[in-house]
Amino acid sequence: MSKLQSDALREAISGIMADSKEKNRKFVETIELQIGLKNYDPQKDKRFSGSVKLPHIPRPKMKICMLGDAQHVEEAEKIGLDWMDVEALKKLNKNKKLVKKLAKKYHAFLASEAVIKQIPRLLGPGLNKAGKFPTLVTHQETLESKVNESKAMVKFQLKKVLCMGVAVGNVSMEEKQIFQNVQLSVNFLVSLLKKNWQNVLVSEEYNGEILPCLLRNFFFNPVNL
Amino acid sequence: MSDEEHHFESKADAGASKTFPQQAGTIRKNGYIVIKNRPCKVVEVSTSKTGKHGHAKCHFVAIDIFTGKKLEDIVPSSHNCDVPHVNRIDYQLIDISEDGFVSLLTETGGTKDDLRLPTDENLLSQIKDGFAEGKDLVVSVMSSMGEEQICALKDIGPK
Repeated sequence: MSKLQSDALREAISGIMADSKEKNRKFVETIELQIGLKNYDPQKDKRFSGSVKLPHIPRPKMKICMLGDAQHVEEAEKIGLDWMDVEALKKLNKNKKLVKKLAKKYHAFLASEAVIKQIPRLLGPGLNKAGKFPTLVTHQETLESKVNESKAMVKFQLKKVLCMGVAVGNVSMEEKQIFQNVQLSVNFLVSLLKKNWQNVLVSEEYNGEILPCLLRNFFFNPVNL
Repeated sequence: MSDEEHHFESKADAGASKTFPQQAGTIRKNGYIVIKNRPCKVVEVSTSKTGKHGHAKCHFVAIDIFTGKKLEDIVPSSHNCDVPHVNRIDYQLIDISEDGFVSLLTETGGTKDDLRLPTDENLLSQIKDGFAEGKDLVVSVMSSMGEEQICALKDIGPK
C-alpha cells in the first residue's frame, strides 16, 4: 500500500508548475519539500538522520568543494572542481568567520578519508553548524561520479525542530521526474520514522489525514541555482 | 503510469538480541546483569545456601550503567540470568549544540547527532570546558539494550 496519495501529489506538482509559469522569474526556481512531523518530541524521542540518492538531480548547479589529499586535489583539478588541501585549511586557523564564509560559499563539501578525520581539529564546529559536514570520498570511486552522487543526495535530519526541508527538484524538470523524487523522499523519511509512524497509524482514516499535511507544505523557494 | 514503489528497510539492527542468558552462579563482580530490565554492572555478589533442602542463591548488588542507581536481585544460582551486550566506541567530538546534543565524527566519516550530553556534572563540565577551549576531544560512548550514553572523555593533543 502506498502511504502517499498519488493523485494529491500530482495535483500539487501541477499546481506548483502552473504558479511558476504564471509569475515567471528570471532564474530556475527550486521546489522544496517541507515536512512537519506529528507526535514527535525532539527532546525525548530518538533523533535520526539519513541520506538518500534521488533518481533525478534536483540542483544541477550545486557548488561543491573538495577538501582532499594530494591525489584527490589532482583529480579535482582535472574535472574543474574547486578544492582545498590541508595546507589551505590550516591557514584558516580555526577562525570562525573564515570557516563561516567557506561554508556559505559552497553548497556541499567532499573530503578524503585522511582529511575528514582532521576536520574537527582544523575547522572546528563551523561546517557542522552550517549543516555542511563533508561527505567521505574514497579512492576506489572516481571523483566525478561521487560529485554527481553528492548532488543527487538529500539529507533528512531531525534536530531541535519538527520541520525538515529538502530540495527535491526545480521547475525546469518534468512533472514525472519531480513526482518520482518526492515519492522516494517521503518513503525514505517514513522508513526512518518507522517506530513512531506505527504509533500514529491508528486507523486508515487517521492515516489519510497525516499525509495530506505533508503535501500541503509544498511551496516555492526562490533560490538562485 | 504505474506507481514506482520504493520501500526502505527499517534502519534497525538485524534483530540481534540485546541480552544473552548466563547462569547466575557464574556472574562475578564487575560483570554485567539485567535487573528490572535495566543493564547493570555488578559491584557485589554473595552466595548463600539455604536450609537442608534448599538451593544456593546469589545476591547481586549492581549499579545501573546509565543512571547510576543501585539495584539488587536474588536469583537461584542454577537459574539463568540475562546479561546485556555492552559496547564501547570512541568518537571524535565535532560540535555541541545549544539544546544539549552533541555531534560526533564516526569511524566511517559520517556524523552522529543523536546523542545527548551526559548528566554527570563532572563529565559534563569537562566536555564543555574542553570544547570551549578548542581542544581535540574524543568521547567514549557506551551502548547497551538500545540505549547510548557518553561515559568517558579524553583529550588527544595535536599530532
